[in-house]
Amino acid sequence: MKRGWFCQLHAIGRVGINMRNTKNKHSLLNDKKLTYGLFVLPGFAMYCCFFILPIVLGIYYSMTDWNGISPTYNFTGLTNYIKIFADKGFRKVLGFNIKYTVLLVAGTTCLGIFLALLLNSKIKGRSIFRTLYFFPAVLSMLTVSLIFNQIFYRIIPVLGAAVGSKTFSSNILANKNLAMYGILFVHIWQGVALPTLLFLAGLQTIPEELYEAASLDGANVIQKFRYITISYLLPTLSVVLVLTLKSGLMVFDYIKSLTEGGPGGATQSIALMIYNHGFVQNKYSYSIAEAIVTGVIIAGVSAIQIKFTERKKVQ
Amino acid sequence: MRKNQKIIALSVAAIMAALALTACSNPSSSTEPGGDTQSNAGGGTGERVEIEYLSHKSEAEAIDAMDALIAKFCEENPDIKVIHTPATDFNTVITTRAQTNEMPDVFSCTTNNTYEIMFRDGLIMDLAGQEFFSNVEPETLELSKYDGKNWRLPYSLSAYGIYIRTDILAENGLEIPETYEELMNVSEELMSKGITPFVCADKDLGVVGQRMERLMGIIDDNCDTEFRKIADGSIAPADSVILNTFASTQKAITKYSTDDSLGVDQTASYQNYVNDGGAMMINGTWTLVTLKDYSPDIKVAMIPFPNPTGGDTKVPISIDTSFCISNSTKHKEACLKFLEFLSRTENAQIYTDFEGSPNVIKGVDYNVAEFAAITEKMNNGEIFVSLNAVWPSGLRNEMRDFAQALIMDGDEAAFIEAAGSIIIDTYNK
Repeated sequence: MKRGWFCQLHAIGRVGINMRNTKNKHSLLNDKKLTYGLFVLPGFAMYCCFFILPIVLGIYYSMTDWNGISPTYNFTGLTNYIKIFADKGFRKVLGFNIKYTVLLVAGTTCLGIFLALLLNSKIKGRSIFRTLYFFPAVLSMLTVSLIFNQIFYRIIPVLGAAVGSKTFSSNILANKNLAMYGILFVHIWQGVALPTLLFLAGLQTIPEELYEAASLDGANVIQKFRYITISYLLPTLSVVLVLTLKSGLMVFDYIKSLTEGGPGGATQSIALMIYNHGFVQNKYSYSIAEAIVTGVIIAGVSAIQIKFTERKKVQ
Repeated sequence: MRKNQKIIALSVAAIMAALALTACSNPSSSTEPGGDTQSNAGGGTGERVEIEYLSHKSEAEAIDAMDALIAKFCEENPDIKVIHTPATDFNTVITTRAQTNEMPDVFSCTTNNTYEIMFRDGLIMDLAGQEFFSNVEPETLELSKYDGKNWRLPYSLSAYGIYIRTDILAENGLEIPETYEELMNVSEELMSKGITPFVCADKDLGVVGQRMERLMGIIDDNCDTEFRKIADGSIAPADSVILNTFASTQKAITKYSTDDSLGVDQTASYQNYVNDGGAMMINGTWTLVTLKDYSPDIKVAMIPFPNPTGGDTKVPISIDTSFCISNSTKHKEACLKFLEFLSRTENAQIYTDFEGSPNVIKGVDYNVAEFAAITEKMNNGEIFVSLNAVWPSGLRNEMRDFAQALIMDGDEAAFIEAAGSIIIDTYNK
């Protein structure tokens, strides 16, 4: 009997201790969460202040007829959005941007992987080459564009005339069919540096044994590249694709300094159009609506692309 | 220990928040629209007043001119300091300043509907009753008003025409043309001798748009009337004399320009012109100082662009520089003092001597030999106000892309159709 109630007391005591320990654990966890929360709070507040709030305000202003200067304006609802989708000019510019982005992504990705494979191989002076290939990334976009402006105007026509090429005997930026490729060349020249570095880092993570095993199994170079290299590079590829997509869809600096959207609007991008509508033509609310539509398109395309690459990557 | 962690976390969070917000402070913001506040100029407190002057001119000569004047003003008024801020993309800068309530105390501007909207919306001070206006040429003062009100001190004018390399024409035995037919004949003659008649910066949309607007005014300075008829359907765009004449004139100019004029920007065009790359350049009086910078001995004369219709040839003029005061300034008296100082004849003379444009302040001596033909037209009253002061806001900028497309592919019908659409949309907004 004595032992019975003692055991019961002991059991009750044990339960009490367990509850106290659990409560202590929860309390500790809550304290930790509070600490983490407090550390994150300033960054989150800044993110809300400088990112979320402008978006919300932008959506509001896009539903008005504000010209960017007057203190008063009228609420117009979805009028700006309706005008955008009915505007042939917007569709033409969107088409240009899509074409430009596809070519940019293809060019940057292929050239980036190719250069990364080269720089990852055992070649003499590898470090020097790595430095040289990264050099364009440290220059500003405007500086690069202004330099290439002069190259396209003064140097290439002379070289083109010397080799007897009619196409390159004049400034290609003045040719409505070739101007886009001129801008693409400059963009890829500068834009391939960082992806190359990222791919190079990705290549370093691929175990050599896999290639050896594949060789033993009779895989050729292309099969090894497709089933091993690309699979391991998919996370990096995903990052590069998102960055390059965004860079292509929002291209502004190169176009503004190389062609200003000309000749005759042949190279006008969405970002340049938004700038012109907002700051040159004082159609401020309309330009904000265009920016929001563009943002939704970029987000949608990025989401699809990330989902696709997530499924394919090595787990 | 846990308590210490919390304290540390809270302290670090507070410090980070404070550091983040210090970057947002703007000690010089003036956010009170609607009129004067304290008047500190030469005040009893003895404090030195600082006013910001934002300039729309980025040319070295204009900056030097204002620097010289500001130094003289500050010497006369040791209690006022003027901070000179030249802005390259002025329209973007002033629009952004207006949106963020950070208007400069004083700023200069050209003639543009944007600034009239700013005045209408109370961002620019009404200068009614100021005595310094008595020193401005009355006709220009009248032109500078908006809705009958004085909102700016008009200062210098610009004119538009053709710079002729008199040495190249003389070497080839050619006379300076006076009519449109003579101009085309001279161009044909030059081309046959292997000399490019026109140097055009067709890559630069601003230049293309300006040329389009000035030529339309030269064709008919009542352009606004005809455009209103297009907008209300009285005239079809295809029947517009102005649009048709402009399209054919532009095509003629393109024919006599270099093949890749669409790849030539303004800087390259100046370099080409001074290096004998062409005999003529269609531009404004503001360009002479730049040409002289490149080549001090260049032999040029500016002539009016002859009316392509054969009608009267008039010179388009624009009030190139005006000075305004923001309504949000906290130093109204100091700003008015600055404008009064600028309006004095001797100071306007300094500006003109540096910058080279005709001045509208009475008594200023202006005698630039290269502009003799233009000055004669101005003295005879054969002038008209550039259409950018008359057209609705944004019209020129919307049409200029299609003007560049016309240069590119020569499709007059496409240009007229596009221009007509824009005119109808803009006037009926």
